[in-house]
Amino acid sequence: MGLNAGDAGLGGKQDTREEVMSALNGIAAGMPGPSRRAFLAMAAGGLALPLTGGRVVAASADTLVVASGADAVTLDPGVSFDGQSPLLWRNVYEALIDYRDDTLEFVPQLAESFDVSDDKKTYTFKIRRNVKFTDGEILDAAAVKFNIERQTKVGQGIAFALAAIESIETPDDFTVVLRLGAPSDGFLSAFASLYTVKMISPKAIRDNEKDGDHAQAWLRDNMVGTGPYAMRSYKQSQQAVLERNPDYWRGWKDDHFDRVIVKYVHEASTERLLLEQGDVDVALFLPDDVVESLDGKPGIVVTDEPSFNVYYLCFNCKNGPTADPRVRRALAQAFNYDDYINNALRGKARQAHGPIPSGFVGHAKDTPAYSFNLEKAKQLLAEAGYPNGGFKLKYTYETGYFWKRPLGEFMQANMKELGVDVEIQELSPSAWAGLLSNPDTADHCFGLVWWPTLATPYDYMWSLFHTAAQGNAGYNWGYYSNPEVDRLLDEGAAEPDEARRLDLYAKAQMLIVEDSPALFIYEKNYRLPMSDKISGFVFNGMRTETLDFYSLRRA
Amino acid sequence: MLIFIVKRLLLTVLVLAGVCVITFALTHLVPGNPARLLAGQHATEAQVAALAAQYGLDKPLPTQFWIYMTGLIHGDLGMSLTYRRPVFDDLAQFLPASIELTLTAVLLTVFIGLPLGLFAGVNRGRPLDHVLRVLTVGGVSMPIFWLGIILQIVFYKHLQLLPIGGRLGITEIEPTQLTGFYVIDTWAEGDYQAFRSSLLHLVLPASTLAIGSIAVISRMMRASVIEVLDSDYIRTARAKGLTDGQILRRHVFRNAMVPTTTVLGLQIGALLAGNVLAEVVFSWPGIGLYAVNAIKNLDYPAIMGVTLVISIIYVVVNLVVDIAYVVLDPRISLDGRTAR
Repeated sequence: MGLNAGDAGLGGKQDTREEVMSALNGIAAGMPGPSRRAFLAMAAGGLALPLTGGRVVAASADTLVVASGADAVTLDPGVSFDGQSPLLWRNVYEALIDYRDDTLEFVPQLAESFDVSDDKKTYTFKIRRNVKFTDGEILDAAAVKFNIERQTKVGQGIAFALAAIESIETPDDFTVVLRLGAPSDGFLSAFASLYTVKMISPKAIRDNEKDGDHAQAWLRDNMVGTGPYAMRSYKQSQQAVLERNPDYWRGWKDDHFDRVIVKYVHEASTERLLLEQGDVDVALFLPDDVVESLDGKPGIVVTDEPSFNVYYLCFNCKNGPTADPRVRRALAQAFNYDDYINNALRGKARQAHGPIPSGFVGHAKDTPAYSFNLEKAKQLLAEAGYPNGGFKLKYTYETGYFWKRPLGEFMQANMKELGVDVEIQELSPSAWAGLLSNPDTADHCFGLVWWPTLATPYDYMWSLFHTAAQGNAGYNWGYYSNPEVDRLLDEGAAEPDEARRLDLYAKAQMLIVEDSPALFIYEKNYRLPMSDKISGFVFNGMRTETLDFYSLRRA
Repeated sequence: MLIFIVKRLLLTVLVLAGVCVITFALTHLVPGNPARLLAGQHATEAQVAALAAQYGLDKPLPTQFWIYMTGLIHGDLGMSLTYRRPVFDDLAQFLPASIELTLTAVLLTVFIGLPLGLFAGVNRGRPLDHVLRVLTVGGVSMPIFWLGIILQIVFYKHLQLLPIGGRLGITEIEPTQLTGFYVIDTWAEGDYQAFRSSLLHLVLPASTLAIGSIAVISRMMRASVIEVLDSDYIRTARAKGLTDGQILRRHVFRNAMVPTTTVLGLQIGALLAGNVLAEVVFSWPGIGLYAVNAIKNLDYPAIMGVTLVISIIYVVVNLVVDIAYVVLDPRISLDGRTAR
């Protein structure tokens, strides 16, 4: 800011009044006046366009406007696992490494090279020289070490994946060596993913530390990074304004966006209208049905890329009829996957083969998938002692998770064929988590979507199906427990040899599918509606619901 | 009068203490797990436990209540679980937007609803009265979220006259906070473009909120006016030879305002409640929007904070209404005795 509002006012006033009059006249006469967007900006924004140097930022080719249907939680990349904040983190902060385009292959970012020892216990990063934080501090090995230590001490976010680190050495100013006590599968991806150790200016952290909070209070509202954009202003639930970091180490070309505005919109119909009218360029976090209704609208494209999001319908494996794996296998064959995918999801998904998405590292290609076979299902159910069904299941979902209700209703209709009644219950997200994370109250079926934090099958299978992930520890809220699966997963995570590791994981996938603690329903395509004028978007399933503003252009 | 106000304020403290106990009990009756939710999908057990400890969620309920109440006495509303900052800061950000919106809706209600009611009452039984009656029934019956979306489609999508939501245009920079009312802050900064914009952004949400209230108030006013017009003292006034204008101003309006004021006070409460819906539909960053997020995440301190603030507003509005009675009707006195 810092511009005197009064100056802008006087000079601009008269011109702008004329602009509006001409705009109005043009429209009245049916003549091609200023663009609709320009007109709207004038009518609504009080004559934004003709002013230069005023307080009003012109909505023009150099500004990208992103609508987000859900609020960011914090600007501090070290403390949260929410889905919305990473959009901002990703563009202001950078990590040591990154994924190449849409692959799981690691490429250098703030580290110019990296090396992993054969025993998978020593990780060496060479830090890029001449990188500066926006407060002028230099990024060096000490800064990297400081940030990894902050992350560990804060104890939130990606900290869990850093527990394997035994020592951090800085043999010279631009080399960082991490030594692990034991190999830890996926460790490298803790430095590349959506939730990762982002590099924050150590000076900013030190200067703003209060009562040993590692500057958490300050970093909640402030960002000092090395990334392409700097946060100019941020207002919770309203908007974030980012502007180019002029000293960005990768440099600038003319056609990058000068400014990016993220607008937090709280009603899906409002967000849809904004995109349809061309007032925003991208619309994040819209419900599926709204996204599908935007597909094919003029000026809008909807991405259609395979993602790593897998959708499960989990059973309670501890209590009630679904404690019997035969019953679960029967239910798995009473669900009409094709019907659901082709009709409810308009074909924008594929049936999942086991717990791991098919394009992901370690997915066992020969993992079977159940198909819809009502006769077989009835026969299995009879063998389990329920010849005509005759029992009741409860399905629960949280308010605001748009895909879960249709899934529950579809399952209800399918299970009726078996004589199984499904009762559907909606709860607030917190009450839902409270119910299911408590083994005494959890006796429900529920929908769950999983996407990976770390690039390893362990991420999925441990969180959802390991005995140690029951209750508050993870998301094994069906309370499934198979000691053999636990053993295969634990051995896999500690196995340095890739072939042997993937073999252990493959066996675990087979066992899990056999036990059917959940229906492995679908892998969804990533569907993001955006203006067809925007180019350069690359989707990577490891970084879902974020954009790299630096790579985007307006055509 | 002063004694009355002091008494009422003391009572208010009791009311607010009651509100605290009830809200605390109700929010904690729900068997939720806010720490698990807050920690996020990939968090480990240790992280969930650390968060629970950080926000005091691991302590027994009476202890939590005690900590909250002692904090409250020191002006500390606790930390928001959702946004990870003091609830006080959240409210300071979100409350002015709600008050700006509600006040605008109240002004619309008073300046449109009262004259409409007066007009309808005076012209009872004439065609215009019937038209107004139909319109007001319509106004009362329209749900806020539905009306809001319809107005958006008409005025934003089709007519392209008014902005769809928010307090300022997407590309405009918000003013430095003086009062928190953008209409005032932008004016004070001399930024007339932003001032215009903030006014235009108020039109749809404030109208959405006000239409129901306008309908209620004008119907109430109409009924009161009719009642007053039928009373003996109006006949006496006419017999004295007062003109219609004098009668309306001196007798009808003032007397009809007494019952209407009661309803207006209640309507301000209703507007605050309606804010929740209107703010969501119009992305209006007020406490209604904040409350919705707080409830979804079972953010105890935030829910308590919002409830307290709304209770305080309610109590103050009621106090103002009671004082307004005395001003409007000399027969009413505040100490319970009837004035002669």
